Amino acid sequence: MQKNHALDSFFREHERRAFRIAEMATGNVDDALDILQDSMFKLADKYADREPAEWRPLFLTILHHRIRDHYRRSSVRNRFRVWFQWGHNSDDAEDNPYENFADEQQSSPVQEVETAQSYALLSREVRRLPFRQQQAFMLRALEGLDVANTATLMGCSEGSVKTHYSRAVKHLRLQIGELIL
Amino acid sequence: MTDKHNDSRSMHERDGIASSTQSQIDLIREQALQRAAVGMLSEEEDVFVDACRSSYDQASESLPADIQSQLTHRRYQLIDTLVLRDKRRTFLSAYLPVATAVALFLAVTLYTRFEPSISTKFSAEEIQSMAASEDFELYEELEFYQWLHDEDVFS
Repeated sequence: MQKNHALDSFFREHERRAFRIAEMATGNVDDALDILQDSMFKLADKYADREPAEWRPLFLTILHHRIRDHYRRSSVRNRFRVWFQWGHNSDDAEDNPYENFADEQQSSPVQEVETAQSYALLSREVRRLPFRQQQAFMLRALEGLDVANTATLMGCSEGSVKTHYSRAVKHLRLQIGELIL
Repeated sequence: MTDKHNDSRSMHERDGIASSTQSQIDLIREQALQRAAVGMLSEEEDVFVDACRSSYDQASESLPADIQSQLTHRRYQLIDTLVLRDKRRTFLSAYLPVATAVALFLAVTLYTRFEPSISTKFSAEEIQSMAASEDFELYEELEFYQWLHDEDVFS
């Protein structure tokens, strides 16, 4: 009972930021909510007995795994669309498959001017980053994790994290640097 | 500049390092420093990252009401599921040993009650007779000997 109360407090504290991360990655509110719910269930189901101090990195790990799964599913879906000529031309495909996901929330320029908020711009540009750069940027810049923890969470070396993060920041600054500052 | 270079060269030569080796060492050091610089952000990039973070923080704090209510609803759903699961676990942990004990008792009782009535065991007398060394022919002809005795054939 006490454990459930602790979990409730934890989720209450972290759910909004986690939702924003999922939303930023997927560009879709419903998908973001589903990903968040799955992550919460997984944490409660498998790791509730761990120390509450361990919950945050575990929760972020699960969340990013769920986002990755979402991308994989989208990738398969997009391939089918291409095969059946429902989607865009396959010539558009680039080396990184994660760069080809459709941005389901593409807004018109008018809407963009109306809701010219820095978050919307940031969210859109982050979504356009390759997956690993996206992860590195979210964890390092937005969640404030250090290089070592980010590397553990992403399952790669610290050098890779530095490279992905640096590239992501450079790209984002080039695209929206003037608009967001 | 030339004097400095000459000084440096003479110093390395004094240390026993050839100038060609020293230039290679310099190159390696430069490369190492470049590697260390990977991932390090410039001051402008740091400012940009701070702006991104503050934008993200504000957006997380000010979620639209409908999304916030959906989040709350899903959290309650999760907690309800956890509470229900805990209850189920408590019930099982409390009653499972009792149920197992009752089942065992019933099984043992039923087994002993319906144990076969025809015993397959031999009595001590039977075992003795089977183990006896006398000829079994005597027992087989016992009725004949009884008849002889009754008729008093030899008298």
